[in-house]
Amino acid sequence: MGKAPHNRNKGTKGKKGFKVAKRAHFEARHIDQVWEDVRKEEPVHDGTHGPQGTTARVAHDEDVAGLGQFYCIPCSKYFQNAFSLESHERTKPHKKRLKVLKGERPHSREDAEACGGMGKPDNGPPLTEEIQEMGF
Amino acid sequence: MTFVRNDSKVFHFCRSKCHRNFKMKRNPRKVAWTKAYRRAHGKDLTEDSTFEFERRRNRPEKYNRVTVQKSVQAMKKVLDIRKARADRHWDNRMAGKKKSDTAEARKVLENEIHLVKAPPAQLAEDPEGYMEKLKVKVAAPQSMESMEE
Repeated sequence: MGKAPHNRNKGTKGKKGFKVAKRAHFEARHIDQVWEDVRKEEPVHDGTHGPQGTTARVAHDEDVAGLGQFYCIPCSKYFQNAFSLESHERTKPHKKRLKVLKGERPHSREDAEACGGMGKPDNGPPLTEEIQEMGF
Repeated sequence: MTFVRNDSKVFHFCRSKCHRNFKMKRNPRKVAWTKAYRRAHGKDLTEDSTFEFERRRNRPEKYNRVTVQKSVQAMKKVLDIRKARADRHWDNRMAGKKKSDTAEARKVLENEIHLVKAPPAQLAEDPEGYMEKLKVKVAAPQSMESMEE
C-alpha cells in the first residue's frame, strides 16, 4: 500500500489521463493470474502474443507500447523497447513483485470458502467413460 | 455483490467494504479484519472435521423428505459442536493472557509511579530506595593513555 519510495515527488510529469489510467487499471492482470502466468511451462508472451484474457495482444499492435513486443510477465506491462524493459527489471517494484510471486498461491475463492467454514466442493463421482463419450 | 472478471472468473463479496478492498488489490491475508487473516494467524479454528459438512455440491440430489428432516437436525448439532470447539480454541489461545496482563500492568505501575505519588513523597517515605532508583549505569571511564592515542 502506498507509493514506492522512488516514485515519490514526481508531480504531474508522468501522469496519464483519467480514462487511460482507468482502462489500464481494468486491463491489468490480477495477481492470481500472473501467479499462474509465471509458472506456465509455455511462455506466456513470446514477443508476438500476450497472455490470454485481459491483455492478449499481437505483435505490431499500434495501441500497445513497443508494438506489444516487450512484455514484463510478472508486472503484466508492455514497454517501448528492450532497453526500457531491461531497466524496468532493475527497479524496486519489479523486484518486490517477483518476491510476492515466489510465495504461496494468492487468496482464492476456495480459500474464502474454507475460511467461512466450508469444505472442498463436492462434484460427485467422476463420469464413467461411456457418458464421457456421449459428450455429457 | 458479484464481480465477473474478463476471464469469466466470478467473485462474490459479502459487503461493499470487501468489494472496495478487492478493487484496491489488497491481500486478504494481510488485512487484519478478514477471516483469511484470522485463519492464517491462528486466531480462528482451522482444520476441523465440522468444516466437512457444509460444502458446494455440484450434483443433483433427489428430494427425500426424511433426508431433509435429518439434515436439518444434523445442522443444529454440527453448529453446536463447532461453536464449542471454537470456544475451546479461544480459551486455549487466551490461557496465559491474564498472567501477562498483570505483569505488564505491574511494570507500568513501577515505571510511572510518579503519576500516583509525587517524587518528594517517595523520597520522604523511602530515601535509600528512591536514590537507588535514580542511579544510572554508565560505561567505565576510559584511561588517559588510550585517550591520548
